Amino acid sequence: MTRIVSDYIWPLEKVGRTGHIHSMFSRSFNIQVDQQLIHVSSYPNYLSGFGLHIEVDELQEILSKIAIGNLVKIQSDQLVFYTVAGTYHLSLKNLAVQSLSLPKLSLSLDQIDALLFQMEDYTLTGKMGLAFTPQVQAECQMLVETKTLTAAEISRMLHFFIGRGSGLTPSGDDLLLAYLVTLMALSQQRGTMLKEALKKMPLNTTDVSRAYLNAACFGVVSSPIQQFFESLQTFVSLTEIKKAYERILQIGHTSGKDMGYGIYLALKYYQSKEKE
Amino acid sequence: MLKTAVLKNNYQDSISLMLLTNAINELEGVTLSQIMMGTNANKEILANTNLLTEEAKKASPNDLMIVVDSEEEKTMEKVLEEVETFLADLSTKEKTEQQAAKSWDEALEHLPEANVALFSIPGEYGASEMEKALEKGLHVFSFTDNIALDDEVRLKKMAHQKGLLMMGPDCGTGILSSVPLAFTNAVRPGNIGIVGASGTGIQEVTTIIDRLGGGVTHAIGTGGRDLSEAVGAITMKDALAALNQHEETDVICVISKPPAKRVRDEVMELLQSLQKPAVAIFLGEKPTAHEGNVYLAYTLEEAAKLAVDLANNGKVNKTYFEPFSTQEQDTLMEEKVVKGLYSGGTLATEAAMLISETLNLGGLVKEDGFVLKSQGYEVIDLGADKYTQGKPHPMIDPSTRIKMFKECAEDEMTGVILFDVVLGYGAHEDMAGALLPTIKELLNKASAKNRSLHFVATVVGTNQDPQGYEQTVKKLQDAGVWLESSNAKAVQRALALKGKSLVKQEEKAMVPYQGDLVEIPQISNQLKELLQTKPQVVNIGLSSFNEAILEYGGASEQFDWRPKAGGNQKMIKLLDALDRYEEQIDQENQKVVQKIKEAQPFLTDVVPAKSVIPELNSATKTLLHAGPPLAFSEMTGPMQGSCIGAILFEEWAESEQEALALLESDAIRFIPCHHVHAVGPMGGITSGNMPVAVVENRLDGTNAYCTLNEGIGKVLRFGAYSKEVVDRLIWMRDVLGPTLSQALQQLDSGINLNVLIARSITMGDEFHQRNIAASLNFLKEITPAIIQLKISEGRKYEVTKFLADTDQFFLNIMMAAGKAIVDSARKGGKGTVVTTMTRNGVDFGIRIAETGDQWFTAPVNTPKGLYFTGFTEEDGNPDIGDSAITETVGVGAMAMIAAPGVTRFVGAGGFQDALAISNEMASICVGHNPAFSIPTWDFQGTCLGIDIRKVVETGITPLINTGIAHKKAGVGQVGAGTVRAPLACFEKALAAYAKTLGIDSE
Repeated sequence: MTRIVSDYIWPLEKVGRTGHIHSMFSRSFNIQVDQQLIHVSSYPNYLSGFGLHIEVDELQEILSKIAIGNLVKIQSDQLVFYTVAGTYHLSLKNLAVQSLSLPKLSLSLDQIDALLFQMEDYTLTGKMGLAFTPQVQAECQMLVETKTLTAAEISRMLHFFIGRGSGLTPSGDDLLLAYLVTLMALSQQRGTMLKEALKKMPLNTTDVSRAYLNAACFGVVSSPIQQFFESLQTFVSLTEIKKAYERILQIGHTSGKDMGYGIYLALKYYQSKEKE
Repeated sequence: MLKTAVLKNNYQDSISLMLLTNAINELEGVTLSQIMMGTNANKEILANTNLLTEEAKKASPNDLMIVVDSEEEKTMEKVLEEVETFLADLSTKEKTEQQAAKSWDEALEHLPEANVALFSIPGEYGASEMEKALEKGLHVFSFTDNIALDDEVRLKKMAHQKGLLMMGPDCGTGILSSVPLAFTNAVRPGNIGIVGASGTGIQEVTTIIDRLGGGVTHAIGTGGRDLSEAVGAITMKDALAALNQHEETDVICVISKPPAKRVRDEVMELLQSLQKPAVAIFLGEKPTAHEGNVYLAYTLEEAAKLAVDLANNGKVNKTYFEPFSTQEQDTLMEEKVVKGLYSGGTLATEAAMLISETLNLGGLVKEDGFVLKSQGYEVIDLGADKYTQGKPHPMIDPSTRIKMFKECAEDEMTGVILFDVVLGYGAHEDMAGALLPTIKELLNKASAKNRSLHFVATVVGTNQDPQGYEQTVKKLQDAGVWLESSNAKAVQRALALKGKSLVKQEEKAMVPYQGDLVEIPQISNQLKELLQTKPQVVNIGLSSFNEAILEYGGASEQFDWRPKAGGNQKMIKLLDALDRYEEQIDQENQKVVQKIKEAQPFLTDVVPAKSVIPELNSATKTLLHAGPPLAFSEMTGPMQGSCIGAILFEEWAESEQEALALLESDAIRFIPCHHVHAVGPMGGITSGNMPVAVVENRLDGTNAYCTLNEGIGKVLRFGAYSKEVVDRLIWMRDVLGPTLSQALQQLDSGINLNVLIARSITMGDEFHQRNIAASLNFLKEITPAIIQLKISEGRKYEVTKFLADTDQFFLNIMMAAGKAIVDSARKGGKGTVVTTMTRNGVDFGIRIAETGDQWFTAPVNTPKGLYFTGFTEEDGNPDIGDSAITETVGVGAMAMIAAPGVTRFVGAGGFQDALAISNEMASICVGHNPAFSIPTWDFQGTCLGIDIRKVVETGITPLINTGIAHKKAGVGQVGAGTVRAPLACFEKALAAYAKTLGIDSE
């Protein structure tokens, strides 16, 4: 990967002219510009839907200078970081702009069956961040089995999942996000309903998770999820699909598993709905 | 009852002392105290509080005065313990922080990349030190105030010409490349650049910018008078030009107290000509429109908001005025008033301006700290001189505000007490916490009386400040204080509590600028570098300023500054004037010390004094004496005793009474030894038939003479004149002198004293108080020659035994050698090196190379040291003798480190003390003499060439090792110790020297 930016936030100036360092991690940091985050990272195989990928050395140099709250000026050709150690200029020239939009999926029942058969091997419920309590179990069951959800039920369900669990992206959010984008990719009406409901409600969760959910509502996901859906779109081999799925499962400490389970639930819902 | 203690040569910075005074005032039994340096200004402060005692009057500016008013006798003991602990803590802390430099040269050696000098020293010394900093190419940040306007103008012009920035004087706040300097908040770095002629104005604007999410990388303080007619905004213009070129600065903000009209217009022209948008607030002006490139603000808050909006998106609101609701509150009665008690001067001015405008109170005043005083409404700047003379600033010390809170609350008419809490580096560690107990107490009292009393505050700070903004705000709010996010809003709140609204600030139009544009001045590389790199600071004054500099990535070097010349303004002026001749003087001094280094003293003979000193061979009965000239009647006891002994020895009288009568009849002529190439120990009394050692300096053939050492016990030099004393003198005349003379003639060229001295110094002698090695080395040289003489064995034995028993025998030879060395160096000498130091028991006299034979005298001190059993300092005679010639040539106490054992004997401590003494002495000398290398000093040579400039500048006077004579004639030696040369003779010499260059000390 060279220097890449998600088209969701490009050009950066459209997001705003100044921002602040929102959060810092060992290999990435977030810039907050108004309500939008820009995730700057150097992960070799990961680009957030609202992400900017730069070289490792560059990132480490910036991380060594910045502090949370530092001002960042956004210009068409550069980001200027105002830090106690001095100003740092990050050039935005020669960036590759990448679309992280969800592909449209059209899967047959056989394909779904085959997929779900493979996924069940992973026994994710014991590995997720979200403790699989009877209540969670019941909610998950509803996501799969209830064919029609009222607006009130959707709202209650969203409130149940959003912000539930710990971590930078709470487990409930991860599960919900994956469930949502899978339904959206499969052009399910439930996906649209969930998206519209999410857009209207205050998302009582972390800023980072909110940014992922907001991007998801616009059909934008992180690169591993996009790649997984692309593998489904072509459906060349189950081995490739499994590999892409496993890359999702590896995200974060438990986030990947929560998302993997969300995808599984959405596919289960789709399967049962299609079987009718 | 007033008690005084004066700690000599104990300089401490004024803020530390103010805090110490506060702590002492809290001690039980202390009615009032004041601890200050002994400057004239401080003495006036003591006088104003009736604390100026006689002892305090005598203190020098380098002395620490402690005056305590107490009814209890023992209070002073407690106070001194407390002071000692406080100062010890301070010195430990300072030492662990870093080893401070003692001079400009040392500071710049430690921090060669230094580019800023930060001053927080008393104003009276400020201008000359700042000039030095500018000369050395450093930008100046002067927290120091009380600099004369003329000096400010001169320094700023000088800085401008050199491409440097002169921030201040009286610049309380500054941020350079995100490094907070002096009393400053920790502000998020960003794309707004500020130039302000107002300390708290900068603090209010920068902290609001920070809390709004904006950032400031540079906030350059100019000092409050920069926009005056006289100064003409020299600093502001340079700073604006620099920020205009600073790539990362997008918006420039100017803050000024009411400026001179012409200067304001010039600044406006420059702002309009900048390539970046500018925000300006000229306090007191109420702009109705933004003009051209410049967005004009009425309040500090508005200035901050304009700057943030411009920095974020280049657009501004038409107004930032937010009206307060006055409906929901129980409004105070009409007659209730608002009292503002501010620690920030500009905040006080802003509050007064807003209140006066709203209530039509007739504008601002400037009297005794009042900024507003009308119809019961008052706004007071507690940082004004009236409240800060002898007390710390109210940002550091809550006591004045607590007192004023109480006074205001006592007044039934007070409805609102309005105040600020300024956070940041340098400010009190928890001002809110310190004020709260009083606020709660006063609110409770008011509530108990069913009376409405409100406290309204604004906190100037950021969350990055050491005290924490949110933490402070919460603390105040929890206690029932109305808290607002800006000073303007706090005023609004105070007025709203009275049911009044601020006069509405109308929407501002954008109008084109009609005036002239100017060319933006070019900026120097130094100024560019200042804004592009972290400042490297020489911190002269408060060491606490280093903390923030280091924490924010700057570098700092503490310069442990002390007032030059003990704060003597006349001397400071002379020294400063002489600085301009530094190279010339240094060259002249080098010539003098070169002669000292190249001296070749040889002991060539021992002869009757009259044979080599014609004055002792005249018809007029003549005696030589030690020290500068004086008459018999002026002599102290031991010298008079010596005179009697000499007369009895010369048989000019048969009894003590006859001798005394002769002396009192003025029949005896007295000449200082030094006037006839001679020197004499203690009384120095020398008569014609006394044998003298002849030392020839073979560098140029100069001869010098000194009587022979008589041993210890009852001896003439200490004023004894009994028969045994006279008999010994006769033996010395008849036996010792001729024997030594004959023995010396046996040697080819006498005794090479350089060799003997060099060898003996490595054996632990310093040649004034300890000569045992040199005496033995002398014995080693002379004995073979004595043995060869054709004289009786008995006589050989007598002489050898006397020499072997007389540990100090070499002292007198060393003195003659010293005299031969300096008399050679004096010939044609120029410059400021001391060529003679001597004492006559009344006066200490020195000579310097430039002025030849001229004496500069001052009353001698009495030695301090160890006394023989049965004697005390009371018995000691004031300092006496020519033996200080040893120190003049760099041995004696100057070489204390060569003979650490002596320090115990003279009561001056151990090895470390000896080392400290020699190091201190080296600091007033031109260099070191490689001819006499001292092993215990890492083989450095002895001190070489005492420079009166250094003595006067540092206040360090030469230390002299000395025997102590009893003050009464005839008693003799009673102890040994050390004594300091008095500073006054060096000051007189300096004035005389300056005069030779046409510099008048008046």
